[in-house]
Amino acid sequence: MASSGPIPTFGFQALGESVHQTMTTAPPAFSSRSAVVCRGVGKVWAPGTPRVHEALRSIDLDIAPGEFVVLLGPSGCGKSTLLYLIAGLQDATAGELWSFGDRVEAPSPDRSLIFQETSLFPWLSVGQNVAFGLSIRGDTPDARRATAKEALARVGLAEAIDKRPDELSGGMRQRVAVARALAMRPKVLLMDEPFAALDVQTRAKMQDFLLDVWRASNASVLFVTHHIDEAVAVADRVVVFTSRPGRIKTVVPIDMPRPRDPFSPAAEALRRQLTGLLQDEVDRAFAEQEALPA
Amino acid sequence: MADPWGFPGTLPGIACIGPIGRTVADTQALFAAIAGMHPADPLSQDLPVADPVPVERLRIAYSPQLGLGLPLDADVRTAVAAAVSVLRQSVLSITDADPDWPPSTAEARILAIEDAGLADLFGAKWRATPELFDPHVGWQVGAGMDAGPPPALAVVYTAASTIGRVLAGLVIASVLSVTIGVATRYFLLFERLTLPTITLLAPVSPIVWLPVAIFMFGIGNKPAIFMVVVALLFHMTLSTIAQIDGVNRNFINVARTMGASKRQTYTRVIVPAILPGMLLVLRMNLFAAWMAVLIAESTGVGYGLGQVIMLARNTFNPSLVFFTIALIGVLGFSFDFALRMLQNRLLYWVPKGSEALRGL
Repeated sequence: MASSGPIPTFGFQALGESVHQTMTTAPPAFSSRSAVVCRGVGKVWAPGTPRVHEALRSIDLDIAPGEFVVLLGPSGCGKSTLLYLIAGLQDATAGELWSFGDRVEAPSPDRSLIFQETSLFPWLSVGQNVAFGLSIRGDTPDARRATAKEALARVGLAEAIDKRPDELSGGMRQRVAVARALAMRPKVLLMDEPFAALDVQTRAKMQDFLLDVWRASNASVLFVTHHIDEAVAVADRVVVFTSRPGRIKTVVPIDMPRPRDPFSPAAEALRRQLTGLLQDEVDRAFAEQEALPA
Repeated sequence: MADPWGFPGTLPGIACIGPIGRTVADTQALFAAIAGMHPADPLSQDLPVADPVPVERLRIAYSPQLGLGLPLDADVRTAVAAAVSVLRQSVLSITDADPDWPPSTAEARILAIEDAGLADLFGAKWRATPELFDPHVGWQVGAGMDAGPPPALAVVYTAASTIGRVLAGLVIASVLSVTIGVATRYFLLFERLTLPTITLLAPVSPIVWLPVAIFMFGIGNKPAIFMVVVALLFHMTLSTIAQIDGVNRNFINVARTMGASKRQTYTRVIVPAILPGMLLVLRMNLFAAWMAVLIAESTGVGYGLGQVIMLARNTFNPSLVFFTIALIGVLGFSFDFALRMLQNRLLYWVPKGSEALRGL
């Protein structure tokens, strides 16, 4: 299955164009119901150069409104790339992306992306950060502040509205980033390893908190992680990626009620299953790296 | 053939205090020596001389007025007037002229500072033994000592004029470089048109712009400010572009997901994000600005620290040189300190530099 040699990029482009034509002439019925639809999505970085490298290949994925989906895979497997494509920050080199019946062509406040690293603007107060998208949209200052206060209250940080980001801890900053996304009332929350920089205890608290926010907001969540524990704790479905180029290896539904006991036999079995799936990919990635000419 | 102002710096090379020769024959011999070609003299050149114009066709003018408020001794005036009336009785035709001395005359501008230099050099001696001095020179020494503000205030004026030029240059260069830098990244066509030129001019030393500054702006404040701008502009523009390229991608991505337009992304995210770096660039370039302004001032702006350095050099006054060096150093340090304070106040989110290194 592992691809070898340079990727024939013209093939992907040709595929993308043909799919594009069929899709635009006859939009499929699924597109208006699903929060996110990926059909044959691929991404090749630096096509036509010696550094060409295929990040994603043939991704088919449907995410229902209000669903919590975790993308799990080894580092560098392209799961973050998929998030960027869905956010509209990058263009796919093959396939089609849809969200609630609209083609994904540009970034939209409906699909908020939350990053691993702190992405709060350090020159703005916490309240101004949360209100940033609202001021871009042209809300009045009073309306902005009211919405910001409400969004901050939902993440338990209403008191911090006039603080500066550098006065907050890492966990608090990520909660502000979530509040900033929530203030725009997004239909899809895209989260790129948002808790990776936090310590284990803080991360567990943040997962609980995220589940509360998710339930209250009715938004779909697409959550990228390489932590199996995290996937087991939060997901409705876990999408396991292969190593480079990223493809969907398998999808594991999790049917456990929340709050979940991480030490229950079911969670234990699930962890064992996901670890096995992931381990194959990590082994394969290492074998590929060792085979590379020095 | 005499420089009535008595100070040799004014017309270097040909000025002298007093008459060149006592008789016509002496002066003729002197002129022959100056104009003639001698193979042993590398500076002399064998140039063809045009046929001499007959003296009766020469246009000769005479003025007893020296301009610039300079005094003329009564005996000199009488002697010259007598000589002129004798010449008038010959074949020569001499007209009276009263030349206009515009205040912008370059010589006039440095006159005051040269008076001050003379006063500094000879003031004490002139007070003790005024009879040793030619009255003209004595007048200049006296004028230099009595004219103008008291010494402390004079230092403040001089420093303030230089600081003003540095500040004006810094402000103009900052605004221009941020504008050009942002425009370069904003408009691809603008980048294609300007970036190669900017990169081409960046390695050119500011000193070589000095003649350009004088061609374009003459003598005064403008060429000095121009020199500061030109010393900073290209480097700061390239720094701006580097700062823009270094803006955290996440900041830009957040702005895009929030629906910001290109213009909003630049004004609301990129410009505030590059400010801390720009202030650092400004601090680094502050010293270049000081160097440029001193070079520009040393060419004869009229006043300023660079002019004082040149005066001290011309009058062999080491204490004035070292005093000015110390003054420039203190001013440069204070400027840097002020900018750091500004940085701490304006850019409160930037971590304070060396704290982490103190524990090592």
